[in-house]
Amino acid sequence: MTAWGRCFHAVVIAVSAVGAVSLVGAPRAADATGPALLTQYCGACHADGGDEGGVALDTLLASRPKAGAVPDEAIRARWIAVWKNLRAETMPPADELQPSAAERRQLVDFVSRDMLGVVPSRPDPGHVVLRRLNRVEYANTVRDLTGIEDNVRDELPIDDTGYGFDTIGSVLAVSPLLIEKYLAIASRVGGRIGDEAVRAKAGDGKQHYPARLRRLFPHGPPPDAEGERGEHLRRTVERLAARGFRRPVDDETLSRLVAVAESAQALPGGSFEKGIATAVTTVLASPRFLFRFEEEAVALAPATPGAVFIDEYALASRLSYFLWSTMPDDELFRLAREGSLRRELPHQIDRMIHDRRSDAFVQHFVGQWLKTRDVESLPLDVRTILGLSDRKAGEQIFSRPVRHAMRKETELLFAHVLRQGLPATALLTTRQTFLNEPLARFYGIPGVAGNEMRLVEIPPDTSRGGILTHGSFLVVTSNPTRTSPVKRGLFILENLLGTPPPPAPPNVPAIEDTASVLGKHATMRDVMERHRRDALCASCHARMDPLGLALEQYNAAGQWRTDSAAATIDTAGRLVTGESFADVRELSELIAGKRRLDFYRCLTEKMLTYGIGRGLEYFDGPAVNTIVHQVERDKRLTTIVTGVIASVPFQMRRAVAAATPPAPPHQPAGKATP
Amino acid sequence: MSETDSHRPRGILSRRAVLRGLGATVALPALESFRPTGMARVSAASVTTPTRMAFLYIPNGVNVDCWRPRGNGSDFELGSTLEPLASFKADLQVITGLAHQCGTAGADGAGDHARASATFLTGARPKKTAGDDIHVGISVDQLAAAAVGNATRFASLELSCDTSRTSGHCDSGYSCAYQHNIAWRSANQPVAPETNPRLVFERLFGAGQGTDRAASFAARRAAQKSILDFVMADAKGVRRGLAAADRRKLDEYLAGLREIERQVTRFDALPPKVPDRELPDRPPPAHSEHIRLLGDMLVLAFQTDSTRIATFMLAHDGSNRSFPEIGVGDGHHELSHHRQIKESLEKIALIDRFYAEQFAYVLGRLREVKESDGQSLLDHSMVVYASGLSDGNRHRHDDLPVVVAGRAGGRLAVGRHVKLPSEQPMTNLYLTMLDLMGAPQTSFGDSTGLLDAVRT
Repeated sequence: MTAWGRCFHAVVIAVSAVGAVSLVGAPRAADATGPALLTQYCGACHADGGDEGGVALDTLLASRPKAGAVPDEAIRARWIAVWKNLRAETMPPADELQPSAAERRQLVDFVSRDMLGVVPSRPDPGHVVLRRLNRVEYANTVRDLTGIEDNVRDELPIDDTGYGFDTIGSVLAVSPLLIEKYLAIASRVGGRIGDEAVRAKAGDGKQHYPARLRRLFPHGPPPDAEGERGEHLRRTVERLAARGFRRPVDDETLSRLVAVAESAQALPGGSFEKGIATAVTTVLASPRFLFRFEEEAVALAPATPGAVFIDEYALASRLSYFLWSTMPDDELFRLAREGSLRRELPHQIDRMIHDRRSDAFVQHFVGQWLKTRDVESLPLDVRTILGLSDRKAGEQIFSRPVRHAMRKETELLFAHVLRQGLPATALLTTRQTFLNEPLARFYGIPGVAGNEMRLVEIPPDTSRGGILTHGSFLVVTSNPTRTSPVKRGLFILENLLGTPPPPAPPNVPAIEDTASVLGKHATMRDVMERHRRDALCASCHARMDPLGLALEQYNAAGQWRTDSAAATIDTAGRLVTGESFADVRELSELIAGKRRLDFYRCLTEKMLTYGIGRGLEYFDGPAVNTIVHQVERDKRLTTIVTGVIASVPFQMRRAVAAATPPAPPHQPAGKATP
Repeated sequence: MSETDSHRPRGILSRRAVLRGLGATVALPALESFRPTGMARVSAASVTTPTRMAFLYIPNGVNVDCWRPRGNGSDFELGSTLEPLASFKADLQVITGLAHQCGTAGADGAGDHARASATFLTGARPKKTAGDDIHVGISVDQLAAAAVGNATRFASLELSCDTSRTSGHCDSGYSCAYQHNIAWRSANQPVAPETNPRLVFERLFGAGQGTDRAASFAARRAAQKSILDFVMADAKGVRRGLAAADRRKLDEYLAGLREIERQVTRFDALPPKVPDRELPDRPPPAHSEHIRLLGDMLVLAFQTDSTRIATFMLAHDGSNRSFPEIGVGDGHHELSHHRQIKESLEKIALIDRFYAEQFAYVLGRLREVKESDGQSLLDHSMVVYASGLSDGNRHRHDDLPVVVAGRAGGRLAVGRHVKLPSEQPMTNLYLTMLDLMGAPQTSFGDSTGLLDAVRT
């Protein structure tokens, strides 16, 4: 076996050990239920002469390619559209007969497997549009590269989001304003470094760099011998550039950077430190710093002609931005340099998850998945919600510390379940949570003193336990003055079960249309049931409303209602899949039990989207399925994380067709790489 | 740590204190004395007073009955929620009968709020996507900026009061980019707005006080100059070997560099002199104060001829902001689905009035500034104040609420209610404005022709 072959072998073993890349798997025989279901649910508009929107499914089915043949591009595009509409549940339209969840899954699988030829043995990793660092990643990377703490995040415009996350390459736009900001921050940070490093020399005439700047001056002050200074400068710049660009720097770029440093050094009042500071400014403004360029692994055979493994530097960056929202640390760089990162992956993932830097993953992934980011900023009229007479009292009860603790509660629980290797479903059913005194008092849980958030066993007689009873979830799904069972139900469908209902038809007013007709003594349930009599609304609201109503005993600020009317709230309901529940605890257990595969799939899709930086496509089915099966075996939340990292879209990328290959990286002899 | 602005420092300056600091009672110097010396190098066009254009976006439509003026032509009365504009009645036109057909559902289904924002200045139909292949159209302000932005230090200014955004999915399968941006440099490149008045000020004039400010600005320019060569070359180097979609990202970066290069090479390092200004570190929590501070920045940018083009989202469409300042605790979006309930409609009217008051403030500032020809800055401006929806309850994209203030140097016929006999695309108004701006186009978005009715 050649060296390359051995290496590839090692990778496959390493990757399989973590779990998700399976390069084996034969296409299943085409099944007959797919076409039957398509005809049943879509045929009225899209078959037998019907071709609404230019889609005639019977014609498309008849043009089904032979096994192994490449289907016609136009037909493919149609099928991709069919797949998207089925998956997003935008088809069939809300006012038509809907397939069951299981049938929908069958349909989606049928289209991707049989009509689009997606099989695990021919992986398509898709294309992630060149990602610029979002403002969180940018701020963290500036901090970790330079050691300078500077609140740069708030200077940058808010990033746009796509697919629910702010890590999506195609959506992270670049505008002149942003470039202006980048350049301004780069020169300010560089200036501070120059000032601090120069100041550190003043005392005894010897150079002692402040501890936090030592990463920029790893080879110490310039040597006394003049002839060695050039080489010393070059090595210092090379180390900076390699860390800043997160991969070895090519000779040409390095020489230009050294020239920048030299000319700053030669200016009146210049110095070695000022030269390095100018190089820092330049690196921070470079596209190689601001964007995440990825190269393919030259030492690894492509998985298939269209799919190549990314190189280990790219992998190190994907890992560190996924789990830490920042650049790789020295250990990841070392492993990438040695070419052993893939081999060490399980250990590295473990190390990274248990490192406090993974708080960033929790904060930003959970912050967007469960919207905990919003709990501190959403406008809430607590006076109205709690029926108080003055606003001040409301703000004291639902204070800033309470809001902050709500966010922390959900984040800390997720981190706990992740780091302790607990089942993913513990997020829903645990009888533990994280509280401090303000939040415990807000919830009415006794015996928690002090502002420190700590792990608490929830008393048995308390109506808390699992994220559905967290203040964060209850608040972010409310309107400013009242609960919204529809929003709560929708949230559960979208973010926990992964079966969002079709969007409301345009020009249909919100659900509570009937409130005024029924008078002010009508309960929320009365109002909603009346609304559901409208057939157009009924099909979707039958899915959302019972879920939201199960939570009606919590008010819009997330407190358990104690008024007399609350005692009569009927929280019983039924999932659209048929299972019934009496209250929120049974609902949580249902999602964690009979519907757990839906939950695993939903969470997997969210995390994969966040991690790879693009929306999921029809060809991602095998990657998602692999992870779901894996989690079903060992139940753990960490398995989803490792599964995402080991997946085809995380480990590979599409081969860039017909493009000039990038210059081979400059590999200096064993040193000065990141 | 926090993604939100929840930890604002206490005791930030009140707006009044800030205005005192600025010396609002002191007569503001005329434009000419503000002009940076570098302006002398700019074309002869700047000898005559330039025309400015601004677009202020109000979200979620309005209470149409309270908004609509009575009467027609110059014999008209403002609707009740526009009463705060009474003293500007002779400086503005209310236009009824404009529509954004690209905002309607069409074959795209739900998502009217995303479309309301996205079509507002583009007149184009946004492609329904949650992320990939975002596509709508270039916006009218950016078209103008491309044509005349060269004359000023900044081609355009983008502002917004949305300091935080709700997480997760945006409207019905549309990427949040559609809902949170109204300025589009190209069909797929939104221009993100700034929200912090202090940062806007420092960007325009430098950080610090007095002469420090000019020095800080000059230092920034010098730094930009020295970095540009390296990063330009670097960007071209990495561009090779990229897939097409990636190349487009990098081209956005290069376009940004070129814009800075233009600023650096065409204008002197020193910013125009403006009075010192104390501004809070973070946007103020009160919505009215936030709008007014950003409004001040817009006026200052026009006054100093730092730019002639601005867009300002008072809030994005679909915004569920509440208005404790005026005793409306409910969310705006939630209220906008009023279902003809009297109480909800009344609250919407209160919000409409609130926004009109802030608009009146901005107009007042524009009218205070006298230009070298003795006319006011408002006289030389055209300021559109409008929403992408009319009745929020039914997501109507026709009969839009539109006010155009200012005379564009005497070329707009102010003091009237322009009641169009038949519906016209909003982009007809924009096409006319582009004409007045010296950036004529034969068509724009879904335009069908010029809106001569607004001209003198």
